[in-house]
Amino acid sequence: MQNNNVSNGSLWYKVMVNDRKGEILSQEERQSHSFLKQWNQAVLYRMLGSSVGGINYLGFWDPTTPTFIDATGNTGTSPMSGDMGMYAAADNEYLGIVIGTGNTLVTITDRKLEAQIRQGFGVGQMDYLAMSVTAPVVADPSCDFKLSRQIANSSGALITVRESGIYSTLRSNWNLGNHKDYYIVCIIRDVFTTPQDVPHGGGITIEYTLRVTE
Amino acid sequence: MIQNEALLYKVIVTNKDGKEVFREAESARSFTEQWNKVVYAQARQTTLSITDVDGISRSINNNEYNFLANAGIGNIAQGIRVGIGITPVDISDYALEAPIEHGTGPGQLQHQEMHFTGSVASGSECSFTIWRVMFNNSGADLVAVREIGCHFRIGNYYGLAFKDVLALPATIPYGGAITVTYTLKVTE
Repeated sequence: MQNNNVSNGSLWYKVMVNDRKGEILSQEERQSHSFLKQWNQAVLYRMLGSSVGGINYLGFWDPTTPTFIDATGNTGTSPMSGDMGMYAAADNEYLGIVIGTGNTLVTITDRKLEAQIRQGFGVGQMDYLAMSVTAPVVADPSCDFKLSRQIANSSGALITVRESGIYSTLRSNWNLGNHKDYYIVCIIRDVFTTPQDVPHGGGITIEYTLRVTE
Repeated sequence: MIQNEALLYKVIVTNKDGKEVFREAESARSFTEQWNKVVYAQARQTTLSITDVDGISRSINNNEYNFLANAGIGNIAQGIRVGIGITPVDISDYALEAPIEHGTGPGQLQHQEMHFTGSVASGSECSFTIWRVMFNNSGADLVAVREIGCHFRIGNYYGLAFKDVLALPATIPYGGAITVTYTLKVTE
C-alpha cells in the first residue's frame, strides 16, 4: 500500500513585515503550498537530458543589458548551465523572490503571480533588494538551503502584500537579438493566510527554505 | 505535513514467464543531501563541494549536466540502480551500500535503458516517472535485493540522487527481472 505520509522534499516560507524603525509588525511562517508544474518540468528535462516541451514562461530576461521582455507562451527546452537560477540582484523584479497583491488560490498550473508588485518608488511599487541564497546545511535527518529577499516600501503609502513566489531562469534563448536571454518561469507561488500590510518606510522580508528529508 | 515535492517508488519482480512474484510500492525515504546541493548550485549559479558515489568530495558548479540520470543499456554510472545493502537511509548517504553490477556473471543484473514519462498535471498534482528494467541472466536466483536508488550527474562526476531500503527483500528468479519505478510529484 502506498504510504503518502512521508515528506521527501518540502518547501517552507517565512514572511516578516517591519516598520521604518525595524520593529516587526507581523509575520507568518508555514509550509509553502506550491512548487508548480514548471518546476516539475524543469527537473524532468534536467534528468532526461533533452528537450521537454510545453513549459509555460512569462518572459525573457537579458542580464547583459539588462532588459525584460514580457511575453507569455510555452517552450521546449533542454539543459543548460544557466537553468534554475534563482538569484537576483537589487532592482531585478523578474527573477528570484517576488511579491504581489493577488489572492487567487494557487493552482499547479499557475505561470506567474496574479498581480506582481513592480520595482520602484511610485504608487504601488516597492524596492527589491538583492537576494540572499545560503549554502545548504545538513542537520540529520534533513538538508536545507534558504533563499531570502528584503523588499522596501518607499511608495508613500501602505501596500498590502498577499502573495509571493520564485521566478527562475530556463535555458538561454539565442534567437533574441543574438545575446544571452533566459526564459523566466514561475516555479513557486504562495498566497498568504493573512495579508501583510507594509507601511511606507517599512519593508517585507520573504524567506523560502528548500528542504529534503531522509 | 504537506508533501510539496514527493518521491514515490514501485518495485515489481517477475519470473521468466513474466509472472509477478514480488511488489512493493511506498513513499520513498530520501532525496539525498547531494540532490539539494545540486539544486542550490543551480539556484545560486555557483560552485560547492558535493560528494560523489565514490565518497570523493568534488567541486561542482552550475552545469548543463547536473541532474542527468538518463542511461542506455549497460550504463550503470547513471540511472536507477539496485543493491543488497540493508543499512537504513541517512541524509548523508552518497552511494548504495552494496550495488549490484551490470552483467551476466554471478550476482549481476543486465541493466536496460532508462525510461521517462512526460510531466503531467492532474488536479492539484504534477508528476513524471522514471523507470528501469534489470534482467537476471546470472545463472542463479538473485536473493535479498533490498536497496534501490538513482545515480545522477554532478558535473563531470556521478552522485546519488535518492535511495531507499525496501521493507522486504526481493528475490529475482533466474530468467526474471526487476523493474524499479520512481515518481517525482509536486502538489499545490
